Formats: sequence, C-alpha cells, structure tokens
Amino acid sequence: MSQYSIWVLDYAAVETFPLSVMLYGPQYQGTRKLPYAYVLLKGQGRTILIDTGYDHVNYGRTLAELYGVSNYHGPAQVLAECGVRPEDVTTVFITHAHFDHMGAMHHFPNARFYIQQREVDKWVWALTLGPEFRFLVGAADPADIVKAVELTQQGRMICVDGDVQDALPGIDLHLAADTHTYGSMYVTVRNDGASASQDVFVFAGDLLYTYDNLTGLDQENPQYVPIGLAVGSQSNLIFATAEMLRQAGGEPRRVVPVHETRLKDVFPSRRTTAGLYVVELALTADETSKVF
Amino acid sequence: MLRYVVESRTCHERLRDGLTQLAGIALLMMTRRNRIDSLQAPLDAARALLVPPFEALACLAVPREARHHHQHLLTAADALRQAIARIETCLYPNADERSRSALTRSLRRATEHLRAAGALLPGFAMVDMAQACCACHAAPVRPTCLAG
Repeated sequence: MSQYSIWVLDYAAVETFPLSVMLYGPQYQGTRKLPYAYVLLKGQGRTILIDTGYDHVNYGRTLAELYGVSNYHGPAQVLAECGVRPEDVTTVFITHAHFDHMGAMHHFPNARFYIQQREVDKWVWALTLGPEFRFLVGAADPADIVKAVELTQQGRMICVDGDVQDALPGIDLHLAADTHTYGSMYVTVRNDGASASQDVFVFAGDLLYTYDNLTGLDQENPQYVPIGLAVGSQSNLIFATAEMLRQAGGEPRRVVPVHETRLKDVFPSRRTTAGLYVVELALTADETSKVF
Repeated sequence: MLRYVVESRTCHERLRDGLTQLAGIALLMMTRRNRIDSLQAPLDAARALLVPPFEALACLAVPREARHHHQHLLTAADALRQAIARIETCLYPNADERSRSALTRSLRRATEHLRAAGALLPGFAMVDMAQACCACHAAPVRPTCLAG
C-alpha cells in the first residue's frame, strides 16, 4: 500500500541537449531532449514537492532565446494536472541551489523548505574566493538566496545537516557532498513506510540526468557513468550513484532522474494539452490516477 | 553608450556577486545563530569585493539614455552598503528581529534594482548562465538583437 502518490511533472524542455553533458564522455555523439521537471508527492496529509523549477518571469526570455529552453509552464498550470494548487504545497525539498531547482520558491506561500546546510556554507565560502572562481558558484541566483533569507526569518527555511531519516514519515534526506554541487541532496521515499522498505523511490536531483548514468551505454557491460558537470568530483558522483542504486534495491528504474525523457515510457504517463508529460510513479488507495 | 554598457556590466556583475555573498552570509547568520563568529571573514571579503564596483559606478561616464539604468545600479549599491552595515549590527549577540528585518529589506532592495537594471539592457543577467549545467552547453542561439 503506497503512503504517497508520486508524479514527475514536466514544466519545460530543451529539445536538443548534448549527450556529453548528461553523461560524461560521449563527445560528438548527438543530443537528446532534456525535460525540466519536479516531483509531486501527496499523502500522509501533506503535499510535497522536490524542487520548484525556475521563474519564467526572470529567466524565461534569456533561456528561450539563448539556450533553447521551450514550453515553460508555471506551477499553477503544471500542478493543476494533478488537482493541486501552489498554495496547497506544505513542504519543498530543495536538492541543490541552482536557479532551475529553487528559483520559484515564491510561488509556494504556505510551504516549508528544506536544503542542506553544507550547500549554503560552502557556497558562501566559494564566493569569497573571487570572480576567477565563479565556476564554483555558477547557476546561482542571488534573488533565490535573498528569498531564502526571508523564508528563514519566517521560520519556513530549514537547513539540514547531513542525512535525516524520516524528515517526513517514510521520507529520508541524504547529503551527497562535493558532487554536482557542494551540498547536493537526494530524497528517498520508502513508500510502504517500512524501515527495510521493499518499495523505495530515490529522487536524484541533478546527481543523475539519465538512467544511463546508472548503467552506461553498453547494457551488456554496465557501469556507473557520472554526469558531465561536477563542482565536487566525478568520483563522489559515482559513489553517490552506487549508494542511490543500493537504496533502491538495485532497480535502476526506481532511481529517478527528473531530466530523463524516458520516464514517460518506464512509468504510466500522459501528455497534457500543453505538450508536457505527467508521469505517475505511485498512487495511494484514495487517489485517482492522473494519467488514465 | 557602448562604453557605458561595457563598463557598467562589470559593475553589475560585481554587485550581483556581492549581493549573493551578503545574502549567503545573512542566511548563515540566521540559520546558525549561535555559531556566527566565523562570518566576519566572509563579510570582510564581501566588503572588499564591492569596493571596486562602488568606486567604478561613481566614476562612470553616463550617457543621457543610460541615466535610468545607472540610477538602478546606484540604488543597488546603496542598498548593499546598508546591507553590510546591517550585517555588522546583526553579528552582535544582542541583535534583535528588527535589525534582521532591516537587513532583509536592504537585500531585497538591492535585488530589485539589480534586476530592474538587467531588464533595461541586454547582457545584465542575474544568473551567470554560462556556468549553468542545464543551459551552458546547449548550442547558443544568436540573439535577434545581434543578428545581421
């Protein structure tokens, strides 16, 4: 019996994204579609998001014109596909402090936000190093940090220090230090509520872009292949990948990369009138399907 | 005008970086209130980072059509100066909620004016997309304003 209904919700996409960024190594081997998405969980009296997406008002034009990001839709329209309003969201887990993961916090007026303390600590440290080191803090939006300050004052921003079991019932937070970012976090949902769960989903944030990070491109000879961008190290990414797969009982499909375009084929899904996908991973007993 | 754009863009970037740093310090200060001694060094670094753009802004030759833009940068710089002073105040053990609210207002004001400046001219982004993993390697499209 599922404790949470779980959906992955597209909100934009890059139609032609270089494979070599999704998966370290294959240079000059073409492109794939890269959806932008976040995860919605409903259950236990809560409505939960993993990441918020970015704010089109601030970046949409730049991203569309310069980087080919298309078909953006805001949280109100995207969440409505599952009968949820932004103001219904009670909790948001921020996997890392990039603009496309925490850039829409202001759309969720009643939510409490969780981020790793290390993500903030090391970011401030990296900023003291000077502009020559700006690679280390790329994709950060000062407006998001200012928003985080305001949320902290309101008691709505919680910095967690490392791994947290049962941050909410059946939901564990894990620090993957010095990987994609300094304090990247992945979220494990034990959807049967058991401590030795047989029904685990791991939400990888940007620790993975594709299932191929879990297996490599040669299915006969699988290997962990890190994503193309690490502020920390590729080594740490590989070990985080192994740990996520272990937590998911060795089932790659249960380690969920939200940028993976094939999620819609692995799980039941529906294409919305906006051309975005709703992917349904689990349903509670009292929830109706949003894809059939 | 071109010279103004080139020179003020560097100022905007430095102000943006300074804002990020000050906001990060403020966030650390508020999330770990009993462990804030170590924040003096990052604050000093942020102050040092902001001195060149503060000085450069005052010396810029501003064409008439850029006055509005320049005014946003000046206001943002002023808000950042206030934010530095207010962080200093908030580092005292007896700092109260009112001081922290004043600090937040300064940071918000700086954000709004930097963003407003960014909206007036191309190339004054709030996020360095060149380093953004989900965008940086996508084949850049030549902006229509530069076509031809």
